[in-house]
Amino acid sequence: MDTTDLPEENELIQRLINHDQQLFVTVVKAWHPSLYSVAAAIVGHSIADEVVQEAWVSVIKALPKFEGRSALKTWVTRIVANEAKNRYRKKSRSVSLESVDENWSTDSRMVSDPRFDSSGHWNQRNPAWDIGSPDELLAAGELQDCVDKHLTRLPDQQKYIMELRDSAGMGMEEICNILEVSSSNARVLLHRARDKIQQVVAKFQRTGEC
Amino acid sequence: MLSCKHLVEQASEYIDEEMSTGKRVQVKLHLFVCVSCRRYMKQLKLTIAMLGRKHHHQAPEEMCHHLLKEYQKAE
Repeated sequence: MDTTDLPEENELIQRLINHDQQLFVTVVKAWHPSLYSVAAAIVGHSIADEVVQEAWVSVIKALPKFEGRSALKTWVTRIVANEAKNRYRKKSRSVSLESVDENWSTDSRMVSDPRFDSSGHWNQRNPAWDIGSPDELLAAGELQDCVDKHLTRLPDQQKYIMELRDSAGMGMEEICNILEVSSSNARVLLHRARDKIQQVVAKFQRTGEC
Repeated sequence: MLSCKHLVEQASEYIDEEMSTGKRVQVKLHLFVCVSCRRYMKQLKLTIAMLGRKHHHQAPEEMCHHLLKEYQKAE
């Protein structure tokens, strides 16, 4: 189910307030991938579905009072993020979200990168890939197993930002608000994650090895 | 001129169009003359597009049933 299949904003809100049950289920399904990413980014994957469910219960109660100051999906996303943050704090971990954020900037910088010489030029010409479309990449089974393996190994912070940006399609400002990180840190972490996966695909293309 | 390493480090900013006009011109000039960086940029775009289509976590059916009941109760 794609978000583009949903009615336009005003009609969507009115029909949901008027208890259009079929549309409600359609919206729950259509928005789940991105709402799940938001919840998983804050509380982890094990209870992300539960957090989204609880957030929807709050949405149902508050929907008649929705004032339309933001898009409905943005409002629902914030409720999911708040629910996730409350859960995170209730788990009474020894570190707060804020102190985790501080660590985000201490991640080691790309000081030396074996792809480049001391003057910053490519050591070897970057070879072209045989594959030319995302669908072809996704259809290559062994390559996807390799990408999946490396995705699980990414540092959590990098993985979360990449999930929110590239899987959930959220804007950077919204991501920074939800995860309470600075824009400059978020951009660096996002690029490191993408660059790492590019290198994984490049190596697989070059050598056939993961 | 912008080095290849610097271009690679700024590639996401360029792709996401979050770069100043001045920096953007520098990147475009570099890409015009450097085949390795042109390839890198294309490969990174492809990687991002691939990631966008991966791992779409679907809503569990049980959750949809539960939420529909809650929605009906609120009527």
